[in-house]
Amino acid sequence: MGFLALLWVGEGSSLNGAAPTEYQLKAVFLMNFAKFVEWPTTAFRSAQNALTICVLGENPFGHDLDDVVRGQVAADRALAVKRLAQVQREDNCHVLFVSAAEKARTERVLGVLRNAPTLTVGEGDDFAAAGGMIGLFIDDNKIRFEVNLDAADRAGLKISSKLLKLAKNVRERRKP
Amino acid sequence: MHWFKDISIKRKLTVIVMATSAAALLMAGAATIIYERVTFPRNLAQHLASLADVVGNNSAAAILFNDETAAAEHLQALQATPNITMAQVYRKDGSVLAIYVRVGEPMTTLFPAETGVSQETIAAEHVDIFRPIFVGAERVGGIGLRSDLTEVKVRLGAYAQTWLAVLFVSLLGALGVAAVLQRVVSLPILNLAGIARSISNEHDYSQRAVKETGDEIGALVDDFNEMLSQIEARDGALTQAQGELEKRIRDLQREIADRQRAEQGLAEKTVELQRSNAELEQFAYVASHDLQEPLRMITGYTQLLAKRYHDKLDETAAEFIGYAVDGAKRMQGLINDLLAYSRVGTRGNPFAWAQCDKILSDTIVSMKVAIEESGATVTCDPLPTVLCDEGQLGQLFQNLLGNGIKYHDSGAPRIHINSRRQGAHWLFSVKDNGIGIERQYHERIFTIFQRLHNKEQYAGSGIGLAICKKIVERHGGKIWVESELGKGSTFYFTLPATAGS
Repeated sequence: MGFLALLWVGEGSSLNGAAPTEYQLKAVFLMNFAKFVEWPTTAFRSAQNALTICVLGENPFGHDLDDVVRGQVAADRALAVKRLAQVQREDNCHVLFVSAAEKARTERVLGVLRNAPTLTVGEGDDFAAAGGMIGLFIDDNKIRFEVNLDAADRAGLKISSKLLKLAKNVRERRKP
Repeated sequence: MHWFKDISIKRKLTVIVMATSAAALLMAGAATIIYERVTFPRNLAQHLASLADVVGNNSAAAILFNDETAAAEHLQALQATPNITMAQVYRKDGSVLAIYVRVGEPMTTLFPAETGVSQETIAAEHVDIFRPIFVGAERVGGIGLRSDLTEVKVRLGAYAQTWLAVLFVSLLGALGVAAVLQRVVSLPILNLAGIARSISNEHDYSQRAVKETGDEIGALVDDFNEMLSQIEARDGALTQAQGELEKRIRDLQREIADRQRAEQGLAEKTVELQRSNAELEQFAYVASHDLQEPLRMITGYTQLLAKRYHDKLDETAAEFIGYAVDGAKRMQGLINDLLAYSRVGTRGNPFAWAQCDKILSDTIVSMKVAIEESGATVTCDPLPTVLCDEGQLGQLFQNLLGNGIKYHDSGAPRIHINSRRQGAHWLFSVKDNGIGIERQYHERIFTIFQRLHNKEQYAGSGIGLAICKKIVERHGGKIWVESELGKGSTFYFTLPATAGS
């Protein structure tokens, strides 16, 4: 991770002055994903409702995600972080991070959230193939991601083309 | 500009039109080019800003995800715009994320400082643009573009070429238009000039210029024609006057010839007259001289008859002889008078300068007895010196004084002699207080043997004034009388004051 000499996170971040860790970077990724995804209005209870980033099970971020998200805005909404032990549709998560440690529960979680307006972000190059929307992986010492456009479509999420351009791989929509 | 003054009006007009067109086109072209040069960089800056916004917007995600490759790929798209020499994408803190450099361009940092506002730098050789990049309301970074101004040069070059082509074609067109339009001005002037030259060559002032226009040239044509009319009128008057003059000269020459002929005839006649006059005088002299001899015989023998036979003849015979003697004596007198008269012309002395004062005083002395007897008073003013026959002039004075004394009835005769200069002559006057002469006789008294009175009243033969006239005329003068009956007479005669006349 030494190649990332400088980072683009907000001022007052605890990361200032030190080389960022993998999960510090992934926290920023999570937040930035929120900025390039459009949720259906039904995903929010009200206009003031915060955009919630949920972390399932074991939390690899520590406080890093909270630090990154603090004071940030995406789609005119404040960002909130929530930790979940179990996943339910009613949890109303807009972004759900499934860490590598929770890999065993991936299939079930995706089944629960099938077609729900929740951007599912997982780790490993098989997450998107398994039906997750964005899979994070390390390539050439860089954090990369692939997008399962079909899954996002079915959930009613619109992922910005700008984001898609950065994606290492995009799983196209299945032909109906 | 000296060459311009001497070329024809036709060419001048063409040159003016061409120069005006060229000047207008030049200014229009210059204005266009200046406008383009000024506005192009601004338009370019606007265009660059839009381009930067598009590329920046596309690069937003790349910035957020710190994806240099993706950002560089976005910038690579600027290859399509060849005038962009350099492009840079900055992170939020101002650091460079990606750089695009056109092939062959050096690499520099466009906007090194972190900045959140748009910037625009228009330099002489390039235009720089900086635009911040936003995701939603959040500024995530920025993009800088640099464009060279080759397009301006290219466009200006194209403008210049187009303009040159337009200039060429326009001037060609202007030349055509000028060739047509200059006639409007130059033709009337050329016509006028042609008429003027024709008049100058042929001196025919009846020609007139045709007025074709209502402008200043038309007015000039009018004035010109008016001037021609005046010249023509003057010319005509001059010709007429000359004709009259020539006619008068011919008349005069004819008159002179006539007069010369007349004078010649007169001169011939005068010579003839002088000859016959001289012959006549000679005849009269000879005749009267020769008459004296037989007359003396008659007188002598008649007196001898009376002397020797006075006792044998009766009284009647004596009386008859007395008549014969008396007649012979009178005849003797007449012949003497005639001789005296003819002597004036034939026996005169040559002229010499003589003092009239002296001649008059000698005359008065010789007439002393007659003057004293009659108690006459003779006075005179100073008299001049004249060229004359002194003896004849004395005779003249004697005759005139004698007449003044003789023709007088009561009181003492007073005679005054005066002279004054009158032009080339001296005018003499002899004034008396005698009986005077009626106007009708003023001419007659100068004729030989003409008498106004009978012998019983005033003795005389009637030869005196005739001799006077002849003497004066011989001297080249005239004699006449001014008188009224009973108021005295003044005899005037002139003598030339200068020699040779």
